[in-house]
Amino acid sequence: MLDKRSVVGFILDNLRRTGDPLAATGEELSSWAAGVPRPPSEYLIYTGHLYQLVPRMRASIGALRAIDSSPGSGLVLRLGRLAAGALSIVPDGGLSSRVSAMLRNAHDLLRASGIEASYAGPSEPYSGILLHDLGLVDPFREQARRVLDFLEASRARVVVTLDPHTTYALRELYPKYVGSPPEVRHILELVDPSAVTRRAGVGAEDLKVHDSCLLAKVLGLHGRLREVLSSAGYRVHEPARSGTRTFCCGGPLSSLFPRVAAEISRRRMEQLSALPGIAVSACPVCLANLGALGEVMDWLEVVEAGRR
Amino acid sequence: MSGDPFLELKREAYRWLSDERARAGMERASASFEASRRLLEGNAYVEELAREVREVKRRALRELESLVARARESLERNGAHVVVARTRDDALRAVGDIVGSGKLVVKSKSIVTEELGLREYLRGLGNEVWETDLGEFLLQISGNRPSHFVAVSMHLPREEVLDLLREKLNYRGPGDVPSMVGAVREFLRDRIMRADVGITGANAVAAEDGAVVQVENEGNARLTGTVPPVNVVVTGIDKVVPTLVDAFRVALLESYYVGGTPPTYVNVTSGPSGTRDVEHVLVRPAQGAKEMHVVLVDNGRSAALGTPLEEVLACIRCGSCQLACPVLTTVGPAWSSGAYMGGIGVLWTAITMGAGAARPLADMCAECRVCEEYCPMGIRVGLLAGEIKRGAGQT
Repeated sequence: MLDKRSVVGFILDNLRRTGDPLAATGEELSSWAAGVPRPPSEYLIYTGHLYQLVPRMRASIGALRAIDSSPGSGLVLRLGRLAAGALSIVPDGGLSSRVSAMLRNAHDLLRASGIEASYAGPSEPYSGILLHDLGLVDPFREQARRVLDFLEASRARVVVTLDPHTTYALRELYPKYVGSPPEVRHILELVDPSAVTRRAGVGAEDLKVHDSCLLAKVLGLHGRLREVLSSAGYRVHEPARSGTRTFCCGGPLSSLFPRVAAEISRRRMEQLSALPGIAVSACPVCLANLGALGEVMDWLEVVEAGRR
Repeated sequence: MSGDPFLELKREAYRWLSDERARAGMERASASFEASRRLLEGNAYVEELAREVREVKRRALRELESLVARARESLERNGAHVVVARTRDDALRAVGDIVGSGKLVVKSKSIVTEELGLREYLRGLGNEVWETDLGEFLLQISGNRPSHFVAVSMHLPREEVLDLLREKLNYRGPGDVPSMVGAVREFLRDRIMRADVGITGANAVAAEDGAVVQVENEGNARLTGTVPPVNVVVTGIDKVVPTLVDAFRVALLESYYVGGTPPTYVNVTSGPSGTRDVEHVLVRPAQGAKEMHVVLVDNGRSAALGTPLEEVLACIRCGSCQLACPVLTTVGPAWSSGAYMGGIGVLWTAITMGAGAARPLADMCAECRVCEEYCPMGIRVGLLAGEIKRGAGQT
């Protein structure tokens, strides 16, 4: 069974060596952005690595669950790190392609809404949100400072975030720990609902929305998500627990308590299974966790630029 | 045991996850409670009650020290003996001094007595002690920890209850729930009728009136507080509110938020039983308890005033947040310091046992903060549990 020190050590060591908590490569993080302009520009897309990490999150969930059940697993994790990849966090290629398409779509949706945004590429630092969630105050502060310096150097007026965790970090946590970044807007606040339509190839008109806790409770963007999906032409179905009373995907516990996280994910998928259509979320952590158990899509996979 | 509180918590959670029968019990109970809670949706009366209670609690916490002093005066004026216990040890000693040894003691459900470990303490003094709330009784005979503030045994499925009664009470009746409840009723009635001391809790204490208010559905608390000759009320100082009307509001709100309905019983006790029916001469007791003792427990509560944890003292222990919590309803009583479980349990553990004891538990909070949406008092449970995870309150 993994102790907290082993998990924390694994993440901190990855961050120190590679600049990413799950050791994603620069290629993995930025290959989606071919053709996207580089800064400076008024609007800067800041991914915080989170969407790109979905394949590694998905792989690590399985790996952590397996080694959490084995004796001497703290040692396994440390050896895994030393053996550079022996801990089999191998991202799924298909999922990587999906994520790249989501990120490109995010850029296209902004453009269709009249916003030309740039992206920094491999030099974009990780937001540090996982460090905060694990209770690691000093490493989080250090990482937040790095990001703040990066954002200031970009000279962007508006930082466009794509996921609720990164938005929360920049908007709520950075001011508390290191200082305020430039204006932070979540993409849902910028996309013009009338400029989106159903994405070609999505074989359903019915969607059931799984609300990310942060998106709904802290950012209050659950209504906006529905507005965009409905405007695109979908029928939206609500599970019994939705909006600010949503039910967690289990993701926040997936590194420290992977088996508990898996059971929470299973319960949420069971709740969603009672409804028709495709389960949709607007959070990479939800996508990584719930998507491990069944068909779940991100909102960036079901809409595209275009008028109905 | 590893000695690592994180690993102990994880091991306990995984053990729980492997217990299919217990999880089935929890899921049945959760679904039933969720249905009850839906009765409250859009109930303007209960929403208004919650608003009033938030205001009552805010006012009470602002002047808690003087309210506690006033409650003491008023209760003593009404004939009760009052102890304000600063620490857990002070509280145990106070109750131990009243009860003594070699007694038959019955008690109704009380989270504060769980916090103190009162049952074990009194047994250690040589008393026979029985819990009279059905759920609490089942926990007592099974050695289980509570999984919820009110529905303490919601993780025990009927199959396990049957096994328990067969083993511990030599029950030979059928396994349907009414038959099992009937058997426990007979067992406990016998103890209540013979008891020397009845220990009860409180939902609220009215400072001006010197009265203790308690809600219940089973009727056991009413019997426990009145049949034995000595009644000892044990409760936290956070339960003190200005007036009896305020106390009623608190008690009613707690009941609505637990089950979506008003309570079957509301007990108000303002002193020992007595009568002046003959020549207006006061004689104690009449039909109720001859003595009433009230132990008001601080145990870290007043130290929380003026800190970020102060808002937690407004908690009415309805457990609404606990039933909404995806983690607690998955791992049950594993996520607990004994009396206090779930995210709100992290906060109460910090108050009553210190932030050091709470921090390992805080690791299990997903910080989804859905609990806050269900709290009638607006306590920022998830936010504060996250702050404890990040070292708040550590010295």
